[in-house]
Amino acid sequence: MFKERIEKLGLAAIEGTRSIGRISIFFFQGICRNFVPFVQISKIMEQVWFIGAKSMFVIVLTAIFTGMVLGLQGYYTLVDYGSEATLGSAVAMTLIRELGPVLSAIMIAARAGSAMAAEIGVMRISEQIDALKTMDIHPVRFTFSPRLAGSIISFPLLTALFDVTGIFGGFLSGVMMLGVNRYIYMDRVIQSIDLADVAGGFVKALVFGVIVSTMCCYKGFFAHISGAQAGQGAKSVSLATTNAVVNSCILILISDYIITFFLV
Amino acid sequence: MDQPFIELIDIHKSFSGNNVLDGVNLAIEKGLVTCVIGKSGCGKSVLLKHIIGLMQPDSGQICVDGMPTNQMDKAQRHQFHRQISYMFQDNALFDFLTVWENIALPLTEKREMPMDQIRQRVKEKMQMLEISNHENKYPAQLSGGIKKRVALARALITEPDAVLFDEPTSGLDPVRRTSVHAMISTYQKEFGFTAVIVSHGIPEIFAISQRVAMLDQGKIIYFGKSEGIFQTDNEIVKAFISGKDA
Repeated sequence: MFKERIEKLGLAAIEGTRSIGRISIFFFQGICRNFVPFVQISKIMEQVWFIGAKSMFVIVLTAIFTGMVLGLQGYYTLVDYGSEATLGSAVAMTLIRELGPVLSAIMIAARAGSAMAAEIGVMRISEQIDALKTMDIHPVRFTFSPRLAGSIISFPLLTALFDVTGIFGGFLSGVMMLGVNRYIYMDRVIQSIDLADVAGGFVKALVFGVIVSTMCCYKGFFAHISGAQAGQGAKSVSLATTNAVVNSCILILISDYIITFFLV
Repeated sequence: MDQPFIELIDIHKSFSGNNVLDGVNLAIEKGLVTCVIGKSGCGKSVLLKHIIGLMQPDSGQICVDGMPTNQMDKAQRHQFHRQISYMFQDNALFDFLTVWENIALPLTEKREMPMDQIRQRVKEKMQMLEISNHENKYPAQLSGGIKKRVALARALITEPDAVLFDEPTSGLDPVRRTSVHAMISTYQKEFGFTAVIVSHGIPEIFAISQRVAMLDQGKIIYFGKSEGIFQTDNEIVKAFISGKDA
Protein backbone atom coordinates (compact mmCIF):
# COMPACT_ATOMS: atom_id res chain seq x y z
CA MET A 1 0.00 0.00 0.00
CA PHE A 2 2.70 2.43 1.08
CA LYS A 3 4.95 1.31 -1.77
CA GLU A 4 2.13 1.92 -4.28
CA ARG A 5 1.62 5.44 -2.99
CA ILE A 6 5.31 6.17 -3.26
CA GLU A 7 5.27 4.79 -6.81
CA LYS A 8 2.33 7.00 -7.76
CA LEU A 9 4.06 10.00 -6.26
CA GLY A 10 7.22 9.18 -8.17
CA LEU A 11 5.31 8.78 -11.44
CA ALA A 12 3.55 12.10 -10.86
CA ALA A 13 6.91 13.77 -10.20
CA ILE A 14 8.40 12.27 -13.38
CA GLU A 15 5.39 13.37 -15.44
CA GLY A 16 5.53 16.85 -13.89
CA THR A 17 9.23 17.15 -14.75
CA ARG A 18 8.55 15.94 -18.29
CA SER A 19 5.80 18.53 -18.70
CA ILE A 20 8.09 21.32 -17.51
CA GLY A 21 10.76 20.12 -19.94
CA ARG A 22 8.26 19.90 -22.80
CA ILE A 23 6.81 23.36 -22.19
CA SER A 24 10.30 24.90 -21.87
CA ILE A 25 11.48 23.38 -25.17
CA PHE A 26 8.18 24.39 -26.78
CA PHE A 27 8.60 27.99 -25.57
CA PHE A 28 12.21 28.34 -26.72
CA GLN A 29 11.44 26.78 -30.09
CA GLY A 30 8.53 29.20 -30.39
CA ILE A 31 10.81 32.18 -29.83
CA CYS A 32 13.68 30.98 -32.02
CA ARG A 33 11.46 29.88 -34.92
CA ASN A 34 10.03 33.39 -35.28
CA PHE A 35 13.19 34.59 -36.95
CA VAL A 36 12.18 33.61 -40.47
CA PRO A 37 11.17 37.17 -41.39
CA PHE A 38 9.46 36.96 -44.77
CA VAL A 39 7.29 33.99 -43.97
CA GLN A 40 6.41 35.00 -40.42
CA ILE A 41 5.54 38.71 -40.63
CA SER A 42 2.19 38.27 -42.33
CA LYS A 43 1.26 35.49 -39.90
CA ILE A 44 2.26 37.65 -36.92
CA MET A 45 0.11 40.50 -38.29
CA GLU A 46 -2.82 38.09 -38.62
CA GLN A 47 -2.40 37.15 -34.96
CA VAL A 48 -2.16 40.79 -33.88
CA TRP A 49 -5.47 41.28 -35.68
CA PHE A 50 -7.02 38.20 -34.07
CA ILE A 51 -5.63 38.54 -30.54
CA GLY A 52 -5.44 42.32 -30.42
CA ALA A 53 -7.94 44.05 -32.69
CA LYS A 54 -10.70 41.49 -32.25
CA SER A 55 -10.38 41.59 -28.45
CA MET A 56 -10.87 45.36 -28.30
CA PHE A 57 -14.62 45.24 -27.83
CA VAL A 58 -14.49 42.83 -24.91
CA ILE A 59 -11.63 44.81 -23.33
CA VAL A 60 -13.48 48.12 -23.64
CA LEU A 61 -16.66 46.60 -22.21
CA THR A 62 -14.86 45.00 -19.26
CA ALA A 63 -12.75 48.08 -18.61
CA ILE A 64 -15.59 50.56 -18.60
CA PHE A 65 -17.61 48.60 -16.04
CA THR A 66 -14.53 47.84 -13.94
CA GLY A 67 -13.74 51.56 -13.90
CA MET A 68 -17.35 52.43 -13.03
CA VAL A 69 -17.40 49.94 -10.14
CA LEU A 70 -14.08 51.31 -8.89
CA GLY A 71 -15.48 54.85 -9.09
CA LEU A 72 -18.60 53.80 -7.22
CA GLN A 73 -16.88 51.78 -4.49
CA GLY A 74 -14.04 54.27 -4.20
CA TYR A 75 -16.36 57.23 -3.82
CA TYR A 76 -18.43 55.69 -0.99
CA THR A 77 -15.28 54.58 0.84
CA LEU A 78 -13.47 57.90 0.43
CA VAL A 79 -16.46 60.12 1.19
CA ASP A 80 -16.53 58.81 4.78
CA TYR A 81 -13.08 60.32 5.26
CA GLY A 82 -13.84 63.44 3.27
CA SER A 83 -11.29 62.37 0.68
CA GLU A 84 -13.50 61.91 -2.38
CA ALA A 85 -11.23 64.33 -4.23
CA THR A 86 -8.60 61.56 -4.39
CA LEU A 87 -10.97 59.29 -6.34
CA GLY A 88 -9.02 59.89 -9.58
CA SER A 89 -5.80 58.68 -7.94
CA ALA A 90 -7.45 55.58 -6.49
CA VAL A 91 -9.04 54.57 -9.79
CA ALA A 92 -5.94 55.26 -11.89
CA MET A 93 -3.46 53.55 -9.55
CA THR A 94 -5.63 50.47 -9.10
CA LEU A 95 -6.14 50.12 -12.83
CA ILE A 96 -2.62 50.84 -14.03
CA ARG A 97 -0.80 48.84 -11.40
CA GLU A 98 -3.07 45.84 -10.98
CA LEU A 99 -6.47 45.48 -12.55
CA GLY A 100 -5.56 46.67 -16.04
CA PRO A 101 -2.89 44.05 -16.79
CA VAL A 102 -4.57 41.22 -14.85
CA LEU A 103 -8.14 41.64 -16.06
CA SER A 104 -7.15 42.26 -19.67
CA ALA A 105 -4.93 39.14 -19.61
CA ILE A 106 -7.75 37.05 -18.17
CA MET A 107 -10.23 38.37 -20.73
CA ILE A 108 -7.83 37.72 -23.62
CA ALA A 109 -7.12 34.23 -22.25
CA ALA A 110 -10.86 33.56 -22.26
CA ARG A 111 -11.43 34.95 -25.74
CA ALA A 112 -8.27 34.39 -27.79
CA GLY A 113 -6.44 31.84 -25.61
CA SER A 114 -9.29 29.36 -25.72
CA ALA A 115 -9.47 29.77 -29.49
CA MET A 116 -5.71 29.14 -29.80
CA ALA A 117 -5.93 25.94 -27.74
CA ALA A 118 -9.00 24.66 -29.59
CA GLU A 119 -7.65 25.48 -33.06
CA ILE A 120 -4.26 23.85 -32.48
CA GLY A 121 -5.95 20.92 -30.66
CA VAL A 122 -8.15 20.27 -33.69
CA MET A 123 -5.06 20.49 -35.92
CA ARG A 124 -3.46 17.85 -33.74
CA ILE A 125 -6.33 15.35 -33.71
CA SER A 126 -7.04 15.77 -37.43
CA GLU A 127 -3.39 14.99 -38.27
CA GLN A 128 -2.73 18.50 -39.65
CA ILE A 129 0.33 18.81 -37.39
CA ASP A 130 1.62 15.47 -38.71
CA ALA A 131 0.95 16.77 -42.21
CA LEU A 132 3.21 19.76 -41.48
CA LYS A 133 5.99 17.39 -40.43
CA THR A 134 5.67 15.37 -43.63
CA MET A 135 5.96 18.64 -45.59
CA ASP A 136 9.12 19.51 -43.65
CA ILE A 137 7.42 22.56 -42.08
CA HIS A 138 8.27 22.98 -38.41
CA PRO A 139 4.92 22.66 -36.60
CA VAL A 140 5.97 24.91 -33.71
CA ARG A 141 6.96 27.66 -36.14
CA PHE A 142 3.67 27.28 -37.99
CA THR A 143 1.34 27.10 -34.98
CA PHE A 144 2.95 28.72 -31.96
CA SER A 145 5.59 31.27 -33.03
CA PRO A 146 3.21 33.78 -34.70
CA ARG A 147 0.77 33.54 -31.78
CA LEU A 148 3.55 34.17 -29.28
CA ALA A 149 4.76 37.23 -31.20
CA GLY A 150 1.17 38.41 -31.72
CA SER A 151 0.51 38.16 -27.97
CA ILE A 152 3.71 40.01 -27.05
CA ILE A 153 2.59 42.89 -29.29
CA SER A 154 -1.11 42.83 -28.41
CA PHE A 155 -1.18 42.38 -24.64
CA PRO A 156 0.54 45.69 -23.69
CA LEU A 157 -1.59 47.60 -26.21
CA LEU A 158 -4.82 46.07 -24.90
CA THR A 159 -3.70 46.76 -21.34
CA ALA A 160 -3.18 50.42 -22.25
CA LEU A 161 -6.65 50.48 -23.77
CA PHE A 162 -8.06 48.87 -20.62
CA ASP A 163 -6.36 51.46 -18.39
CA VAL A 164 -7.59 54.46 -20.37
CA THR A 165 -11.14 53.10 -20.71
CA GLY A 166 -11.23 52.13 -17.03
CA ILE A 167 -10.20 55.64 -15.98
CA PHE A 168 -12.98 56.96 -18.19
CA GLY A 169 -15.40 54.50 -16.51
CA GLY A 170 -14.36 55.87 -13.11
CA PHE A 171 -14.98 59.36 -14.49
CA LEU A 172 -18.48 58.35 -15.58
CA SER A 173 -19.55 57.03 -12.20
CA GLY A 174 -17.49 59.37 -9.96
CA VAL A 175 -17.88 62.63 -11.86
CA MET A 176 -21.01 62.30 -13.98
CA MET A 177 -23.13 60.34 -11.51
CA LEU A 178 -21.79 61.16 -8.05
CA GLY A 179 -20.67 64.73 -8.59
CA VAL A 180 -16.91 64.68 -7.96
CA ASN A 181 -15.29 67.73 -9.55
CA ARG A 182 -14.13 66.75 -13.06
CA TYR A 183 -10.99 68.94 -12.98
CA ILE A 184 -9.91 67.55 -9.63
CA TYR A 185 -10.58 63.97 -10.84
CA MET A 186 -8.45 64.42 -13.97
CA ASP A 187 -5.78 66.39 -12.11
CA ARG A 188 -5.48 63.58 -9.54
CA VAL A 189 -5.22 60.99 -12.31
CA ILE A 190 -2.40 62.90 -14.00
CA GLN A 191 -0.58 63.73 -10.76
CA SER A 192 -0.66 60.24 -9.30
CA ILE A 193 0.63 58.26 -12.28
CA ASP A 194 4.36 58.08 -12.81
CA LEU A 195 6.35 56.30 -15.45
CA ALA A 196 7.36 53.46 -13.11
CA ASP A 197 3.70 52.50 -12.63
CA VAL A 198 3.03 52.46 -16.35
CA ALA A 199 6.24 50.53 -17.03
CA GLY A 200 5.35 48.02 -14.30
CA GLY A 201 1.95 47.50 -15.88
CA PHE A 202 3.53 46.92 -19.27
CA VAL A 203 6.05 44.44 -17.84
CA LYS A 204 3.14 42.51 -16.39
CA ALA A 205 1.25 42.64 -19.69
CA LEU A 206 4.29 41.28 -21.54
CA VAL A 207 4.75 38.42 -19.07
CA PHE A 208 1.02 37.60 -19.17
CA GLY A 209 1.11 37.61 -22.98
CA VAL A 210 3.92 35.06 -22.94
CA ILE A 211 2.13 32.95 -20.31
CA VAL A 212 -1.26 32.91 -22.06
CA SER A 213 0.05 32.20 -25.56
CA THR A 214 2.53 29.55 -24.38
CA MET A 215 0.07 27.75 -22.12
CA CYS A 216 -2.82 27.81 -24.61
CA CYS A 217 -0.75 26.76 -27.62
CA TYR A 218 1.07 24.11 -25.58
CA LYS A 219 -2.17 22.56 -24.34
CA GLY A 220 -3.58 22.47 -27.86
CA PHE A 221 -0.35 21.18 -29.39
CA PHE A 222 -0.17 18.30 -26.92
CA ALA A 223 -3.93 17.69 -26.73
CA HIS A 224 -3.31 14.05 -27.67
CA ILE A 225 -1.07 13.56 -24.63
CA SER A 226 -2.85 15.59 -21.96
CA GLY A 227 -6.23 14.31 -23.13
CA ALA A 228 -5.07 10.70 -23.48
CA GLN A 229 -7.60 9.45 -20.97
CA ALA A 230 -10.36 11.16 -22.92
CA GLY A 231 -9.19 9.53 -26.15
CA GLN A 232 -7.81 11.49 -29.05
CA GLY A 233 -11.02 13.05 -30.25
CA ALA A 234 -13.22 16.04 -29.56
CA LYS A 235 -13.13 15.34 -25.83
CA SER A 236 -9.36 15.76 -25.68
CA VAL A 237 -9.68 19.14 -27.45
CA SER A 238 -12.33 20.34 -24.99
CA LEU A 239 -10.18 19.14 -22.09
CA ALA A 240 -7.12 20.89 -23.54
CA THR A 241 -9.09 24.13 -24.01
CA THR A 242 -10.47 24.10 -20.48
CA ASN A 243 -7.07 23.31 -18.97
CA ALA A 244 -5.42 25.99 -21.10
CA VAL A 245 -7.72 28.76 -19.85
CA VAL A 246 -7.76 27.62 -16.21
CA ASN A 247 -3.97 27.15 -16.07
CA SER A 248 -3.41 30.51 -17.79
CA CYS A 249 -5.61 32.33 -15.26
CA ILE A 250 -3.90 30.67 -12.31
CA LEU A 251 -0.44 31.43 -13.71
CA ILE A 252 -1.46 35.05 -14.38
CA LEU A 253 -2.42 35.52 -10.73
CA ILE A 254 0.69 33.77 -9.38
CA SER A 255 3.06 35.67 -11.66
CA ASP A 256 1.22 38.93 -10.85
CA TYR A 257 2.10 38.46 -7.21
CA ILE A 258 5.73 37.63 -8.01
CA ILE A 259 6.18 40.63 -10.35
CA THR A 260 4.44 42.99 -7.89
CA PHE A 261 6.73 41.70 -5.11
CA PHE A 262 9.78 42.74 -7.14
CA LEU A 263 8.29 46.01 -8.40
CA VAL A 264 7.13 47.56 -5.12
CA MET B 1 17.51 -6.83 -58.54
CA ASP B 2 18.35 -3.11 -58.44
CA GLN B 3 18.70 -1.36 -55.14
CA PRO B 4 15.16 -0.70 -53.84
CA PHE B 5 14.09 2.93 -53.48
CA ILE B 6 12.71 2.37 -49.98
CA GLU B 7 13.85 -0.55 -47.87
CA LEU B 8 12.61 -1.60 -44.46
CA ILE B 9 15.00 -3.92 -42.67
CA ASP B 10 13.84 -5.93 -39.64
CA ILE B 11 11.53 -3.22 -38.28
CA HIS B 12 10.13 -3.79 -34.79
CA LYS B 13 7.59 -1.55 -33.11
CA SER B 14 5.46 -2.20 -30.07
CA PHE B 15 2.90 -0.10 -28.19
CA SER B 16 2.41 -0.95 -24.49
CA GLY B 17 3.86 -4.43 -24.99
CA ASN B 18 1.78 -5.11 -28.12
CA ASN B 19 4.06 -5.98 -31.05
CA VAL B 20 2.58 -4.18 -34.02
CA LEU B 21 5.57 -4.60 -36.31
CA ASP B 22 7.56 -7.71 -35.53
CA GLY B 23 10.51 -7.87 -37.89
CA VAL B 24 9.12 -6.31 -41.06
CA ASN B 25 11.29 -6.55 -44.17
CA LEU B 26 10.06 -4.84 -47.30
CA ALA B 27 11.72 -3.54 -50.46
CA ILE B 28 9.87 -0.95 -52.52
CA GLU B 29 11.08 -0.57 -56.06
CA LYS B 30 11.34 2.76 -57.82
CA GLY B 31 8.56 3.76 -60.18
CA LEU B 32 6.18 0.97 -59.15
CA VAL B 33 2.90 0.97 -57.26
CA THR B 34 3.14 -1.21 -54.16
CA CYS B 35 0.02 -1.82 -52.13
CA VAL B 36 0.03 -2.96 -48.53
CA ILE B 37 -2.97 -4.99 -47.46
CA GLY B 38 -3.95 -6.61 -44.19
CA LYS B 39 -6.65 -6.74 -41.56
CA SER B 40 -7.77 -3.54 -39.83
CA GLY B 41 -5.44 -2.64 -36.99
CA CYS B 42 -2.61 -4.92 -38.18
CA GLY B 43 -0.19 -1.97 -38.43
CA LYS B 44 -0.34 -0.91 -42.08
CA SER B 45 -0.62 2.81 -41.28
CA VAL B 46 2.08 2.41 -38.62
CA LEU B 47 4.33 0.94 -41.32
CA LEU B 48 3.68 3.90 -43.60
CA LYS B 49 4.30 6.39 -40.78
CA HIS B 50 7.67 4.75 -40.15
CA ILE B 51 8.67 5.33 -43.77
CA ILE B 52 7.81 9.06 -43.68
CA GLY B 53 9.39 9.50 -40.24
CA LEU B 54 6.27 10.27 -38.19
CA MET B 55 7.15 7.24 -36.05
CA GLN B 56 10.50 5.79 -35.11
CA PRO B 57 11.09 2.03 -34.96
CA ASP B 58 12.13 0.35 -31.70
CA SER B 59 14.73 -1.46 -33.77
CA GLY B 60 15.57 -1.98 -37.42
CA GLN B 61 16.45 0.35 -40.22
CA ILE B 62 14.69 2.24 -43.00
CA CYS B 63 16.77 3.13 -46.04
CA VAL B 64 15.78 5.56 -48.78
CA ASP B 65 17.94 5.35 -51.89
CA GLY B 66 20.37 3.27 -49.82
CA MET B 67 20.71 5.91 -47.09
CA PRO B 68 19.52 4.93 -43.57
CA THR B 69 17.00 7.57 -42.45
CA ASN B 70 18.30 7.56 -38.89
CA GLN B 71 21.78 8.52 -40.08
CA MET B 72 20.68 11.46 -42.21
CA ASP B 73 21.98 14.94 -41.36
CA LYS B 74 19.75 18.02 -41.50
CA ALA B 75 20.29 18.70 -45.22
CA GLN B 76 19.72 15.06 -46.14
CA ARG B 77 16.55 15.02 -44.04
CA HIS B 78 15.23 18.11 -45.89
CA GLN B 79 16.05 16.38 -49.17
CA PHE B 80 14.29 13.22 -47.97
CA HIS B 81 11.12 15.18 -47.17
CA ARG B 82 11.26 16.75 -50.63
CA GLN B 83 11.51 13.29 -52.15
CA ILE B 84 8.61 11.68 -50.32
CA SER B 85 5.06 12.97 -49.84
CA TYR B 86 2.30 11.55 -47.72
CA MET B 87 -1.43 11.56 -48.33
CA PHE B 88 -3.40 11.14 -45.15
CA GLN B 89 -6.45 8.94 -44.73
CA ASP B 90 -8.63 11.94 -43.84
CA ASN B 91 -6.67 14.25 -46.15
CA ALA B 92 -5.41 16.50 -43.29
CA LEU B 93 -6.23 19.65 -45.25
CA PHE B 94 -5.94 22.90 -43.33
CA ASP B 95 -9.51 24.07 -42.87
CA PHE B 96 -8.49 27.74 -42.41
CA LEU B 97 -6.69 27.82 -45.75
CA THR B 98 -8.26 27.89 -49.22
CA VAL B 99 -7.67 25.11 -51.74
CA TRP B 100 -4.98 27.21 -53.43
CA GLU B 101 -3.24 27.97 -50.13
CA ASN B 102 -3.39 24.31 -49.08
CA ILE B 103 -1.77 23.13 -52.29
CA ALA B 104 0.87 25.88 -52.29
CA LEU B 105 1.73 25.50 -48.59
CA PRO B 106 4.79 23.22 -48.93
CA LEU B 107 6.30 25.79 -51.31
CA THR B 108 5.16 29.08 -49.76
CA GLU B 109 6.43 28.07 -46.33
CA LYS B 110 9.92 27.43 -47.70
CA ARG B 111 10.27 30.48 -49.93
CA GLU B 112 12.89 28.64 -51.95
CA MET B 113 11.01 29.36 -55.15
CA PRO B 114 9.86 32.75 -56.50
CA MET B 115 6.16 33.45 -56.02
CA ASP B 116 5.36 33.54 -59.73
CA GLN B 117 6.86 30.07 -60.18
CA ILE B 118 4.83 28.81 -57.21
CA ARG B 119 1.66 30.25 -58.79
CA GLN B 120 2.52 28.60 -62.10
CA ARG B 121 3.15 25.21 -60.51
CA VAL B 122 -0.02 25.29 -58.41
CA LYS B 123 -2.00 26.28 -61.49
CA GLU B 124 -0.55 23.34 -63.45
CA LYS B 125 -1.35 20.82 -60.72
CA MET B 126 -4.86 22.18 -60.29
CA GLN B 127 -5.49 21.93 -64.00
CA MET B 128 -4.16 18.37 -64.17
CA LEU B 129 -6.33 17.29 -61.26
CA GLU B 130 -9.32 19.27 -62.58
CA ILE B 131 -9.85 21.35 -59.47
CA SER B 132 -9.13 24.81 -60.93
CA ASN B 133 -12.68 26.03 -60.27
CA HIS B 134 -12.34 25.26 -56.53
CA GLU B 135 -9.28 27.50 -56.06
CA ASN B 136 -10.84 29.90 -53.57
CA LYS B 137 -13.01 27.45 -51.67
CA TYR B 138 -12.28 26.14 -48.20
CA PRO B 139 -12.03 22.37 -47.53
CA ALA B 140 -15.38 22.40 -45.70
CA GLN B 141 -17.05 23.50 -48.95
CA LEU B 142 -15.73 20.53 -50.95
CA SER B 143 -17.04 17.01 -51.57
CA GLY B 144 -15.05 13.96 -50.41
CA GLY B 145 -13.72 13.23 -53.89
CA ILE B 146 -12.54 16.80 -54.50
CA LYS B 147 -10.84 16.85 -51.09
CA LYS B 148 -8.90 13.74 -52.11
CA ARG B 149 -7.79 15.48 -55.30
CA VAL B 150 -6.73 18.57 -53.35
CA ALA B 151 -4.76 16.36 -50.95
CA LEU B 152 -3.15 14.63 -53.92
CA ALA B 153 -2.31 17.97 -55.52
CA ARG B 154 -0.65 19.08 -52.28
CA ALA B 155 1.28 15.79 -52.11
CA LEU B 156 2.47 16.26 -55.70
CA ILE B 157 3.31 19.97 -55.57
CA THR B 158 6.93 19.36 -54.56
CA GLU B 159 7.21 16.87 -57.45
CA PRO B 160 8.27 14.04 -55.17
CA ASP B 161 9.86 10.74 -56.15
CA ALA B 162 7.44 8.78 -53.98
CA VAL B 163 3.95 9.29 -52.57
CA LEU B 164 2.62 7.27 -49.65
CA PHE B 165 -1.16 6.87 -49.59
CA ASP B 166 -2.78 5.94 -46.27
CA GLU B 167 -6.13 4.33 -47.13
CA PRO B 168 -6.99 6.88 -49.80
CA THR B 169 -10.44 5.37 -50.41
CA SER B 170 -11.63 4.90 -46.84
CA GLY B 171 -15.14 6.20 -46.26
CA LEU B 172 -15.91 6.49 -49.98
CA ASP B 173 -18.65 4.68 -51.87
CA PRO B 174 -17.65 2.06 -54.50
CA VAL B 175 -17.99 4.53 -57.39
CA ARG B 176 -15.78 7.15 -55.76
CA ARG B 177 -13.36 4.40 -54.63
CA THR B 178 -12.88 3.32 -58.21
CA SER B 179 -12.42 6.91 -59.34
CA VAL B 180 -9.79 7.60 -56.64
CA HIS B 181 -7.91 4.43 -57.63
CA ALA B 182 -8.12 5.48 -61.28
CA MET B 183 -6.89 8.94 -60.34
CA ILE B 184 -3.86 7.56 -58.47
CA SER B 185 -3.07 5.19 -61.33
CA THR B 186 -3.40 7.90 -63.98
CA TYR B 187 -1.21 10.41 -62.16
CA GLN B 188 1.33 7.78 -61.16
CA LYS B 189 1.79 6.99 -64.84
CA GLU B 190 1.83 10.69 -65.76
CA PHE B 191 4.27 11.85 -63.08
CA GLY B 192 6.13 8.55 -62.70
CA PHE B 193 6.36 8.61 -58.92
CA THR B 194 6.78 5.55 -56.73
CA ALA B 195 3.56 4.83 -54.86
CA VAL B 196 2.92 2.91 -51.68
CA ILE B 197 -0.78 2.46 -51.01
CA VAL B 198 -2.33 1.10 -47.84
CA SER B 199 -5.74 -0.10 -48.88
CA HIS B 200 -8.71 -2.29 -48.06
CA GLY B 201 -10.05 -1.98 -51.60
CA ILE B 202 -9.68 -5.62 -52.59
CA PRO B 203 -9.57 -6.76 -55.37
CA GLU B 204 -9.67 -3.45 -57.31
CA ILE B 205 -6.42 -2.24 -55.72
CA PHE B 206 -4.57 -5.12 -57.40
CA ALA B 207 -5.51 -3.69 -60.80
CA ILE B 208 -3.45 -0.54 -60.21
CA SER B 209 -0.58 -2.15 -58.27
CA GLN B 210 2.46 -3.92 -59.60
CA ARG B 211 3.51 -5.25 -56.18
CA VAL B 212 1.47 -6.41 -53.19
CA ALA B 213 2.60 -6.85 -49.61
CA MET B 214 0.38 -8.43 -46.98
CA LEU B 215 0.97 -7.65 -43.33
CA ASP B 216 -0.26 -10.07 -40.70
CA GLN B 217 0.62 -10.25 -37.01
CA GLY B 218 3.48 -7.81 -37.46
CA LYS B 219 5.14 -9.64 -40.37
CA ILE B 220 5.02 -9.45 -44.15
CA ILE B 221 3.54 -12.82 -45.05
CA TYR B 222 3.27 -12.16 -48.78
CA PHE B 223 5.28 -9.97 -51.09
CA GLY B 224 5.26 -10.28 -54.83
CA LYS B 225 3.60 -9.34 -58.07
CA SER B 226 -0.04 -8.43 -57.73
CA GLU B 227 -1.21 -11.05 -60.23
CA GLY B 228 0.70 -13.71 -58.26
CA ILE B 229 -1.32 -13.22 -55.10
CA PHE B 230 -4.18 -15.29 -56.49
CA GLN B 231 -1.85 -18.27 -56.98
CA THR B 232 -0.34 -18.20 -53.50
CA ASP B 233 -0.48 -21.27 -51.24
CA ASN B 234 -0.58 -19.17 -48.08
CA GLU B 235 -3.91 -19.98 -46.42
CA ILE B 236 -4.10 -16.67 -44.53
CA VAL B 237 -3.58 -14.67 -47.73
CA LYS B 238 -6.09 -16.80 -49.63
CA ALA B 239 -8.67 -16.40 -46.89
CA PHE B 240 -8.09 -12.64 -46.63
CA ILE B 241 -8.44 -11.87 -50.32
CA SER B 242 -11.54 -14.02 -50.57
CA GLY B 243 -13.04 -12.23 -47.58
CA LYS B 244 -13.07 -15.26 -45.24
CA ASP B 245 -11.70 -15.58 -41.73
CA ALA B 246 -8.55 -17.75 -41.73
